[in-house]
Amino acid sequence: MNGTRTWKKLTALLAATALTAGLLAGCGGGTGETQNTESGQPDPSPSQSQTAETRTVTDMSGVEVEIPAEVTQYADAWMAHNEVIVMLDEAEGLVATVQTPQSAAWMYFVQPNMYNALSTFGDEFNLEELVALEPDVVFASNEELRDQLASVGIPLVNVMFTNYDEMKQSITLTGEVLGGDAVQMAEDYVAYLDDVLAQLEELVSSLSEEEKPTVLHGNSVYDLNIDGSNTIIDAWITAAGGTNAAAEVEGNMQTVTMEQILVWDPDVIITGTKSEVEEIMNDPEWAGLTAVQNGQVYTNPKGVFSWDRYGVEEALQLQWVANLLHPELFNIDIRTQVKDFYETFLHYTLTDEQVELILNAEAPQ
Amino acid sequence: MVLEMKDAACGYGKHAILEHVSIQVESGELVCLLGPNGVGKTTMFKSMLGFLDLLGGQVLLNGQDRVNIPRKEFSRKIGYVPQSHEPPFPFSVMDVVVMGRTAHLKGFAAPSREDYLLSYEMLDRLGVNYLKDAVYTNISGGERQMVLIARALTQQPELLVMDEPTANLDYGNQIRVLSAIRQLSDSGLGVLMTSHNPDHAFLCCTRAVLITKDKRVVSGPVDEIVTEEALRAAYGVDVKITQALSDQGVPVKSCVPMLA
Amino acid sequence: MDREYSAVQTAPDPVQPSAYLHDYREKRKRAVWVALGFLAVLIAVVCISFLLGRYPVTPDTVVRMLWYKLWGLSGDWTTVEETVVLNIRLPRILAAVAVGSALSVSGAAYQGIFKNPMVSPDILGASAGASVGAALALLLGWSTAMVQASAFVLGIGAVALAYTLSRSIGRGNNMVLLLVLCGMVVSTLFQAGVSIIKYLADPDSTLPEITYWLMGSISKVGYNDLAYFLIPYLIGVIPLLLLRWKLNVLSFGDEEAKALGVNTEQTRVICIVCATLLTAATVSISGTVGWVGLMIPHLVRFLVGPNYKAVLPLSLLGGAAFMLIVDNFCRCMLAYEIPLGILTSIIGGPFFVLILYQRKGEA
Repeated sequence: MNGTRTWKKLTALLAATALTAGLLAGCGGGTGETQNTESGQPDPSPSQSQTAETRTVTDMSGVEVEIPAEVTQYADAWMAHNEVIVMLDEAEGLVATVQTPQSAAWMYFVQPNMYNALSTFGDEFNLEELVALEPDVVFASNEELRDQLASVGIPLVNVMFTNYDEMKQSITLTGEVLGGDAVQMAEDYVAYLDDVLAQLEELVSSLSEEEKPTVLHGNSVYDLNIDGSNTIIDAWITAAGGTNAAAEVEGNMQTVTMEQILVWDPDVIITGTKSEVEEIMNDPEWAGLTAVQNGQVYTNPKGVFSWDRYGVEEALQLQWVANLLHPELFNIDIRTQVKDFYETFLHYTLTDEQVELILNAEAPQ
Repeated sequence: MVLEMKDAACGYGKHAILEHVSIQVESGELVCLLGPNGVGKTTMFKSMLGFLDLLGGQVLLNGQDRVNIPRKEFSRKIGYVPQSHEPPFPFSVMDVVVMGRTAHLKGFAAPSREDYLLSYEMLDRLGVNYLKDAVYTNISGGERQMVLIARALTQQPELLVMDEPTANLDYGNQIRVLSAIRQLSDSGLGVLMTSHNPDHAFLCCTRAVLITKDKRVVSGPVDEIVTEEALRAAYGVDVKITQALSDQGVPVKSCVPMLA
Repeated sequence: MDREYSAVQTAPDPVQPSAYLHDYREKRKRAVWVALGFLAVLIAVVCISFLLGRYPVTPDTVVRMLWYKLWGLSGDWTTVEETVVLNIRLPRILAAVAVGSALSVSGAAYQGIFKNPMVSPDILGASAGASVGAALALLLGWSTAMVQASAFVLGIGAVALAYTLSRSIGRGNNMVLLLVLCGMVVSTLFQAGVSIIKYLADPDSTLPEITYWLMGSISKVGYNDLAYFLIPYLIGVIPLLLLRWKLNVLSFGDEEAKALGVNTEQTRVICIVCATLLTAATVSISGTVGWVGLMIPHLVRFLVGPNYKAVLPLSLLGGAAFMLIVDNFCRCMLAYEIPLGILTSIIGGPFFVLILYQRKGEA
């Protein structure tokens, strides 16, 4: 649960109600509101934007987007991509985001610049507020806002990715848009990820099908909520030398029956919280499962972003899972890897205790 | 058995429509309640049966105030025949008739075999036993009226209160229902019925109650109450009362309206 | 249609007492056979349900297990097989039976109370209220037990609100219509409440949970939930079964019911309280499962006529069997769970149209 975001939404809702009431009561209050917004903005000078230098990038949806030559301010409408921004630019130019300190505690902890950005309510930006902040570009994972933003002269760069190739492409694109040091950082990350993937490919190629343990993953496995095939979860399970136990189900966050889980009888279970691990281990209904009998039930780590979803820590997830499934063949110290990764890519030096918190998907203290 | 209304005020909420009403019905009597539309016949009826609370006065059953008589006990004495209407579900005729036994059932009981046999007996007595397998919503208006009368009889009351038993019936059915009502009255049952047709009072009633336009309630023998002057006062139209002789040589009165 | 009937005989005929006896016996016999038929169907469906599931357990193992367990013996089956049959299938079968019968009985009762065959158990806002309760609890991250408790309390609360509103607005006349109107208003208000909660919910975690709950499912019902459910279930079902004859009379309207000797106020309040208790308790463990409360009583009336003496117990049996069949599809058809509410609607809608077509001639 995230309280602040909820309260913000509620406040917004109440404000909307109050505004409606004001408009109904008389037009005085309503016009005042509009004037405020207008006076808060500097004089729009259309000639300026036309004469300014621009360049063109091709975004993830294949659209050629014209963006200012120099991008210093931007907004990010996709939760996962905020981590890319933290990595490439230390979130310095971020003026508005969909993230909140509650939904991404480690992100704000590791990179306090996040607090400088406006946290908007809901999944959508308030367009007027966004325009007032004057971002040079807006990053997003879909096309919903493209036309609306275009009408106020703000280019939208679609940075959506669903697999590793697209992820590399998207990070390179973001580096290109931001320019400067970001280009090099993006290159470094792509090289790092390529290296991890290459190591794993070698590992997996040495495995027979029988040597690949079946893995059942979900945000809330104990609540029978699991991730199936055609997902990034399926992708890292396969890449790390495992088999997705729930491959016959398609998509993220699907509800299944307990009987079905008993049929799959996975070798390893990975779920979202530490408390669920305990519940699974102690419930007699689950006791018959191979994973439970062998004590192979784990919490998926969560740091700046959830490792198992679409963030840059995907590179860590791959190593963590490979180490979990094949400790002899992929013998690394995950704790050292986490520290190094955070130092290099997320610009933060973790203590040993903080590494433990991340591995247990617990909030920073 | 006497059902009596004593100095009653009838109406909705706090608004009285009729005041100082005093009438009574006894076993074996057949009383016809006449009056123009909107004068308060239905209101008076509902007050008498306890569907509406009295605004003043009393309803007495054998001298006992109705307010002190439990619903069930009152229903074992007084049967009510409403105007026929469409129930929400297609009940069978026997199911409808046997509902008359409700007041006689103990606690949570449902009607027994005896109750069903009695219901059939009542249908038979009214000459409509052929309806026993019919569905109530599929029969004619006249038949429904007979079924509702059978239901009230199954209640085994001593008095029947009937709300326009001839409404919406064709001429033949009106007469059939009326003669059935007279048979019941002859067998000792008290009947209070409303009607729009003063002829009905002449045809079968022993007494008449007339509510006039100015809300006076007069009652007495039919011949004294239903007069040309009274009808003019009540309905505001001119009528002549004529007389015919039945096959048995009994005189039967009838109203002939004079069109303006 | 307009048949002739002869006038009454001069003296009340001493009708031969056996004139209707034969008919009565035939009808009784038929009613008993129909009831036994419904019971047999339910028992058969329960038995088949034990054998169905994604996890393979052979029928003879299931039979042996149930038989041995009944006598407290142990057998040669695996622990997983025992878990599947006794801890997964059995509670789910019981839940389907309980939920299906409760919804059908409360639907049938509401239809009688409100003299309208198109009334469903959520007419007075019980479902909408329970939805708000559950959604709120899910939003606040409460435990499953608290979600159920909150749904139950707000379900009852919504109906109480509708009832109080109608009481304070009108006196005496047309209370039933007013009550239904107030129920609609309260329902709409609470549905708006659900929308607000959904808007506030985290779209990545809480929102899917709320949406899934609203679609209805009994996949997570365990023995503990059933134990708690049993109390409102019995308090709701038993009085309705006992009062079912009076529901017939009530469906003819207040005045006639009064004239026939029914204490309408008291009876109606008891029936509303019981039906609401059932609805709220059901929604609290299964989410909103539509159609059953409307469809099953209709089907039963279609088969045996509208007399509540038969309609109520047969709705109980039929609702249980129907829900069990639908839930078997939910848990067996695909690798993932299909929300119960979706399937009841998919099956219920067309089925209902079919019944209406069948009855077209009768109306």
